[in-house]
Amino acid sequence: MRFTRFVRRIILLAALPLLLLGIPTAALASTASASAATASTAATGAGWIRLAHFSPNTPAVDVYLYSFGDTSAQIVLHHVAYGDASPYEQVPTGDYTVAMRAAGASSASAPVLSASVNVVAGHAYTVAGLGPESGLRLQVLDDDLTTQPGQALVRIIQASLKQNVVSVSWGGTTLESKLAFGSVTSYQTVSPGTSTLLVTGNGEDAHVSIPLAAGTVHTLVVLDGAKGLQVDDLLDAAGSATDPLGGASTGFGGMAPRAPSSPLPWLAVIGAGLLLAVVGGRRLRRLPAARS
Amino acid sequence: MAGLKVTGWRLLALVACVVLAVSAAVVAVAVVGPTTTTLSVRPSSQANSGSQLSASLQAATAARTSAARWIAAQVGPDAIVACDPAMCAALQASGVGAGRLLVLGTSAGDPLGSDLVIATPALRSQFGARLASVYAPVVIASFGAGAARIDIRAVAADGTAAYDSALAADRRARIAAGGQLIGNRHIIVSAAAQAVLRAGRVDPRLLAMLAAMAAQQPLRILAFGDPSPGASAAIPLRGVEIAPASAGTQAAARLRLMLSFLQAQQVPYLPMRAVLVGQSALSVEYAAPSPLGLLSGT
Repeated sequence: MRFTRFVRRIILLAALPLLLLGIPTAALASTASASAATASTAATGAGWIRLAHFSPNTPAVDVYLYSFGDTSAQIVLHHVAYGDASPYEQVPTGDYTVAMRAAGASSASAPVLSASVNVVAGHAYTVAGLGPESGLRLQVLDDDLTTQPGQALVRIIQASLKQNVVSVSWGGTTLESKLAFGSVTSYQTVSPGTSTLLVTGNGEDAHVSIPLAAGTVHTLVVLDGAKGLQVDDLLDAAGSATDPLGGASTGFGGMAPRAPSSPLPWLAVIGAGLLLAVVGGRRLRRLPAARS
Repeated sequence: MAGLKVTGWRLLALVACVVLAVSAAVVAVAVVGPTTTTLSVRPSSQANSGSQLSASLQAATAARTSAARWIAAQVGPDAIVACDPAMCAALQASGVGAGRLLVLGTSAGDPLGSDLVIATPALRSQFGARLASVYAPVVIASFGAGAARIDIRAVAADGTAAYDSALAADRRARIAAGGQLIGNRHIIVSAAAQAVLRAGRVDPRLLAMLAAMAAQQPLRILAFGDPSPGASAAIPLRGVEIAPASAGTQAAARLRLMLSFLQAQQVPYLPMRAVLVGQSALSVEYAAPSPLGLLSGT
């Protein structure tokens, strides 16, 4: 009998920490899995790069990424045209030289070096061709992947040459006024929701309904469309639960986002803890009666 | 007899006059002589001083000419150069366009607005210690010695602290990038060149160019160098000598490919000079000053 009581107490003692540990761990599980993608990528020494062509009068190009240290880590994207943005490509950390050739140019021709980018583990970058063809530059943009809780982040790239100065508002709130062609804003925090993005140029405007969910990060690109101004919504990150998402569908390959890990194992631990606590408690209540 | 007496007295008086005149002359020489001697020294002293002055002028002119030629040959065509009027005139004589010169008169308060400032004795005197401590902390080349020395300094547009910080960050990036190039299987690096890469002493344009060129064809880095006399150790080397990884019948054709690769580039990756060294190597030089922050990308 004493032995049985001793065993019950041991079980109770074991159940308590399980219960106490289980709940916060389960609560943290989603956060942990949320940042798991970023953390795992950081641990494995990789970051992300996407390439974009936002120079209206520049013909399509082939873009090359040359690694400083790893000759097998080269990336080639063929026929990147105005408005195209590749999905994020996962690349090992380190330095890269970005170069371009006219689309379809012979591989024997010399690629023109355009920029260098240093990829840090867990970070994402957009290498964007900006400006007019005569002054084309590849700019490396450091992409944000996380937001403040319950908020969304928005950044704007002004790539319309026809409307070379625009104002942008979302849901009646002015995000930028007099944004010049070829410029990129920093990220701004906005309240999540679905509202109309209004881009106003000189005598021309565009209205687009854009949902900005909490925890998402967007790059909105103002482009010259076939029928006037056009806005592309590039989803940089959909919360830290997933890897960076790709941009507009442009036919490039890319990474599929990883699903967060399941909370079921942690719920099972909580359940087991609760069960043991209840059973143990009832048994303990009976003990004095059994003695008397 | 009386006539003789008179003649005798006259003769005596004449002798006395001659004696007096000679005595006076002796006294005069005795008194005036040292002064004359002193005067005779003065022209000699002036001659020495003049030759020293002439030597100083020659040294200043030589330093100015060397500095002007170096800038005309080594500094990028987009760089704005601040200089005193005499130095600016020397630069123009060396072929540097007036549009690239910021002439600093005696009333100029600072050299801001330029990329480089030529610290001649006149400008050092005008700006004092502030020239190095506030406006232009790093020497990228130096000519002459002593008072005639002319330093070519990189201007810190955002202040010395920001410049030093950017330079340190750039060096860290160069060290990291250099280490990666050493590990690149398409690049063979001599021991001396490895040490330079590891120390972060290679211009970022060279590093980016070498990585891209190695993706086209394997290459060998023979040596890094820089024609910048008196440059600070913090300033990276802008030149390299490279060759195809394997010598052989195709080496000459490979060298020509490497040369055409370089000639196809645009600023800032277009070298200032890319020439064949004999039939076996290629010498590449980028313009001064080295850009900061090129490797960080953002």
